[in-house]
Amino acid sequence: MVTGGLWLAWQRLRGTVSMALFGLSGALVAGSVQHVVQTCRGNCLGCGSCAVALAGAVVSASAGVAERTSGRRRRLLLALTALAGLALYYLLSLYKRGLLPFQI
Amino acid sequence: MPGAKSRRHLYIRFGSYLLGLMLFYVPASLFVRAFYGVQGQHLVGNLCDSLNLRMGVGGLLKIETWQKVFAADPRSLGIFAVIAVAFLFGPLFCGWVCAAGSLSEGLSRLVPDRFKIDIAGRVNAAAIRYGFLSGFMILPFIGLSAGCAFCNFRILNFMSLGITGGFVPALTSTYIVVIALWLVLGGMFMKGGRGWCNFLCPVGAIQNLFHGLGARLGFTYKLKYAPEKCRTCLNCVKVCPMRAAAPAAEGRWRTANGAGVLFNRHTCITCNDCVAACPHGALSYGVGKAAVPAPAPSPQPAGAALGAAAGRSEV
Repeated sequence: MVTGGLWLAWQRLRGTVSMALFGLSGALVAGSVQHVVQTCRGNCLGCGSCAVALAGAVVSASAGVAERTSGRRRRLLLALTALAGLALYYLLSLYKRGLLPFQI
Repeated sequence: MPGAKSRRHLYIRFGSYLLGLMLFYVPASLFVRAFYGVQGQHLVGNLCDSLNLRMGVGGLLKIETWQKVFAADPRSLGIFAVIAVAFLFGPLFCGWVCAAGSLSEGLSRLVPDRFKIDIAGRVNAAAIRYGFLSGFMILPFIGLSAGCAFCNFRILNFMSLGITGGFVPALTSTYIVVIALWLVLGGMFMKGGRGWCNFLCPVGAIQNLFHGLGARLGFTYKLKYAPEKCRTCLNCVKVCPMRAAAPAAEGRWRTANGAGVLFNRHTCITCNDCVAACPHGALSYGVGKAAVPAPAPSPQPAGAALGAAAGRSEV
């Protein structure tokens, strides 16, 4: 009975939660970029915070994508989300080592 | 075309935004100066003496923030004052004194409507903003923050300093991203001009969260809707800067004419533009019940489903 009620509540809320996951992902990306921009250039201590935040952002966005899409479209968007996360991490790594030709 | 009542309301609101600029932003930042003045301290009015609400929200789950509150630091006290006001009276800070939101809203009025994106009833902005807020408050626990580099309050501080001849730092890419989202995409090219507020402002999100809780109580102030007076002219939907109003589905309300309107408590900033724009007196701001729903003719009102799907609480 309770499980059924919870399941119904979840069915009503899942659209809202999936949108919230995109917002959460945005905050984690922003936090990761701010951390690298403000403290890490030429001074990376290898704390791993940027990687943790970006991984969290990818997982959160992927959960949102998985909830809102299906089939081939889901697989494609999940792959794109993961690639975007990796690309951003690579960009931030280059920046930390001073290898980007511009200031972020 | 807006009526005389609407225009007068708009002038009063923009006047209050100017007051907000003077109260919370350097070089004036009268609120913080006055608070420090009472404590016998002298301030010169630099950036850190302005009200850092965004930082306040980011640190709400941290013990240090609460220690600062007990030390009566006005920059930390500010966020608690704003939350208390939101609980009792609605997000008045957003609707009446936030100069950052008013700037993008004002810019939006310069662009014709046909060039603007309208998110009303299309995107669940409240859910995205609450998600952003939760990430924003979790970040400090992994040693990060999404505060200063992406802060539109800070950029507005720089702008007001620049206009008054103060020091303005070089634009970094994060500031360029913020300006593009806040003033261009979410401002000029979004209907209502409150795109940044709708999706990304953690200060607005925490106020709406507490407003959503407070509005359930009878003694708090809130937007009130009288369906029996509503003629579904949708003036309120047209003027709402937060796109918090949307036409209700048939059967949701027993109105004088048409299906009526639904308001999203989680994006409403109690600016009362809708109250001023309503020619039939169906909307008001005050204490009591938010609305008296008419008995639904069908067992599952379509409007209720719409409201739930869009993350709306009933008004």
